[in-house]
Amino acid sequence: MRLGERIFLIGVALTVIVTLSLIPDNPKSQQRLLQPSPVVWEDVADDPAREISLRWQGIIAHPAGKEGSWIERTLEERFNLEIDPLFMDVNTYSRRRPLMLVGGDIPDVMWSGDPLAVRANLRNGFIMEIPYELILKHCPTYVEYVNRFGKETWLYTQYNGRNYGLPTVCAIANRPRTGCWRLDWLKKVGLDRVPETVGEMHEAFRRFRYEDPDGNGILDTYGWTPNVSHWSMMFTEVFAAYGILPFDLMERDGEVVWGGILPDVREVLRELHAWYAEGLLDPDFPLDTQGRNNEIKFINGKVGYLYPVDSYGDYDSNEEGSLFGKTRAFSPEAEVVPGPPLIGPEGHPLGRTWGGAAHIIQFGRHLENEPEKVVRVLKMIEAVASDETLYMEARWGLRGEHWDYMPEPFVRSDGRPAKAGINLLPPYDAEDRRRDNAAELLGSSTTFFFPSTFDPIYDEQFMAPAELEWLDRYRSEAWSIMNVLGKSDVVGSSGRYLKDLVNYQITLFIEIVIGDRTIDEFDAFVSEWRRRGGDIILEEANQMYQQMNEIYQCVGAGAVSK
Amino acid sequence: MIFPSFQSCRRNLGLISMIVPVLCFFLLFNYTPMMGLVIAFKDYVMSDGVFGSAWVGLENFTRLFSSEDFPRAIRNTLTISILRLVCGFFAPVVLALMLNEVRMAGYKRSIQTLTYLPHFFSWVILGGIFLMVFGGEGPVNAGVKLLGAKPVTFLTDDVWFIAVLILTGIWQSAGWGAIIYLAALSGISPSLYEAAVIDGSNRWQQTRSITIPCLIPTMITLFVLSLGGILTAGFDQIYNMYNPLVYDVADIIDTYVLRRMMGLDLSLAAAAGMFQGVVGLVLVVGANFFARRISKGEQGVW
Repeated sequence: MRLGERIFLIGVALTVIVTLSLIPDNPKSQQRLLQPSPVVWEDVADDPAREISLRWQGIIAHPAGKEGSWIERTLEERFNLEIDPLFMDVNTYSRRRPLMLVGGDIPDVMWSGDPLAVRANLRNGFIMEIPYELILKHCPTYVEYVNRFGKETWLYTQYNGRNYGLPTVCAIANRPRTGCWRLDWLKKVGLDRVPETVGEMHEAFRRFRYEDPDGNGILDTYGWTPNVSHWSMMFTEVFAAYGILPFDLMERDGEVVWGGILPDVREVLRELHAWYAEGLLDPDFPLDTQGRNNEIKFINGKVGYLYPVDSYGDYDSNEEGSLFGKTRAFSPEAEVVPGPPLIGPEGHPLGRTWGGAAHIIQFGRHLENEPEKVVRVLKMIEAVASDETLYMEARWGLRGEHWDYMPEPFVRSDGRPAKAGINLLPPYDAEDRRRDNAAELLGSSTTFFFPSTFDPIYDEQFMAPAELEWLDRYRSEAWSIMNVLGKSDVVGSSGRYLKDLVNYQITLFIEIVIGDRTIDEFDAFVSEWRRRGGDIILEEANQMYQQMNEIYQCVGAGAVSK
Repeated sequence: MIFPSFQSCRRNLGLISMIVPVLCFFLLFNYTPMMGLVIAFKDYVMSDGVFGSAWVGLENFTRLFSSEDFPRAIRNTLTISILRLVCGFFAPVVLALMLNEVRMAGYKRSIQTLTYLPHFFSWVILGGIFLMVFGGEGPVNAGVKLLGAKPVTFLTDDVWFIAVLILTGIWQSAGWGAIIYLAALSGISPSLYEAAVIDGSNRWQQTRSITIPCLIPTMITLFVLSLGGILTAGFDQIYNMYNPLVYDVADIIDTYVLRRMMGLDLSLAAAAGMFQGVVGLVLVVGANFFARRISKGEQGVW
């Protein structure tokens, strides 16, 4: 290539870049997206006799779902629908969603897990406004239960005073999460009960480390391998005992603050560092970023404590797939028991809770041209929410044919013991086909078509008394502490700052715990955290906290409860 | 010459018709998508499409470079890439030279297979294996303890982590990289070696005076091409091996962009991608220029 040609090509490239960068700003499209919905809802008439089709992207629970499940057919028949379900798991969803949406394949009904996704959908013009009045008009019972079990979810669906989706709740998530212990280890080292306080936990860890609880003659066990796979589980149980949620927005004296920069955090970090320095924590814990290794170390008998293990079923020694079953398969003498939230300086147990506020159902913007579809879905949601039989059918199928309530533990036809409560009936209960059966029966998951769960209203009557008692004993709602806004990413600027800030905090906390940094560096961290966008997040969070009551008033949810 | 004359086109019609499908392929799949890069200069709203979205000038680039973590990500990417280049570039050459000296065909083939096999393993698997191997209670640390030393925090210490990253990267890719050099070696005319033997040179002298000089054009080509990827430091490997304690040295441009992409901030991702591409292009063109300058126009990719 001659020099002249080279200069020509470079010139062309530079001109293109400069031209592109000089084209002036045109903010019109953003304003257009935030215009009120053009739909006049009073004029929308939904004729139940007309069949409507719905492309339905429900919760991304697992990909094995199948179209034409019993529940899908039942809902289709009852509400004159033709549902085209879209089943994805988390990985497929994150890979496929952008391509799907950019390609114009926007589902009619669209599930999202967090407020950040709602704002992204809104910004990109995928979803439509769903006014509060419309939801109140068509779903009074649903709204009543949503307000009761997780009214923060209304913050997830709103933007700039308008509402962009149907909020969902998961009532059981109002209960705090539990840890679990190896009871046989505790007994072996001379402790007769599960630790209740932070101090007792410390003592148990010390004995797990130095008194050879597995009896193999080598000091190769640890107390704990802290879970660093997700911020919501990182040292959470200890911090919570001190009344702190280090990665959440909390309320202090009427103001919203970030848990991780509160002065009390020092004390907890100092305590955790002392534990590490004593050798009680598995030194490889910072490597377990992918999630399952903690559980594997518990099952293998390397540590004697694991967090979080919330499900009643995980403590069922008869179930091979439960945590108890898996641990017992490895060491036959193992006994696995729940460790309820710890008691800290406050004098009573405190545990982190996600809160009942769950997810968001949105409606594709193209439905502005077919608003009757929205009305039909809302009517269906209300019908399911207010009818016990239909609610249970939408979750589990037909009672007596697909599932039934067993008041006592029993033995299945293939000889496997089963616990009391809701149990799938043969042939749906076959161990090797459990997933396929669930797919045939439920579509994908129990919340795919009806997105909320109202346990105390409907589900709890089908729980075994032992399970209910278990829940109250180990996961009492009275011990809950949660993010004051439900999820931190309801704050507008969180998309820009939060992930980096959380990563920064995770690194620093682990470094302090393992002694790479001293606790004296905490003050520098706090000011750096504020400087890197933390102050902006807190300012917006406080604004939102002030607006919360206005939003709640729109949906009749009353004032902020404390 | 960019634009050929009409006569030369007519003369080479047959050849041109053969390359047309290839050109179409590249135009369609490599150049048309490049138009999407304009979203780096736009506030990209998906429902408005690539061309309907509003222009924002250099705002995305301003946002990118004013963010706290991006400069750090550039620094880390450059550090890792340059270390990879410095430490890893000659590994395949050395391996190929060594394999070239092996005379037992069966032995040579099995060594070659063993060395390029790791190339086919995904880093998801390799990452898991190395976390175990280099972990506090893994075999490497067991060896360290046997020697009476204290266990080394290979994966959580900034310096050690980078060392593990580079070494495992070389282990994974050297065998595969050696294939090209072996091909180049097989292309060296045996008459050169025969002449050298007649002149009384030993094996080392043959390697130094014939084999290595014959490999230099291949090495320069590969070096120039690898410079293009200097702002991509190996996402798969790092993503599967890093942990919060080494974010400071292991957070690279790709992991940074991934975090941004979670919020569907495609404009910012496009801006970062364009930055990577432009820097890569400048480096490739620059390196080629110097290669030609130094060799007086004899070496270089073009």
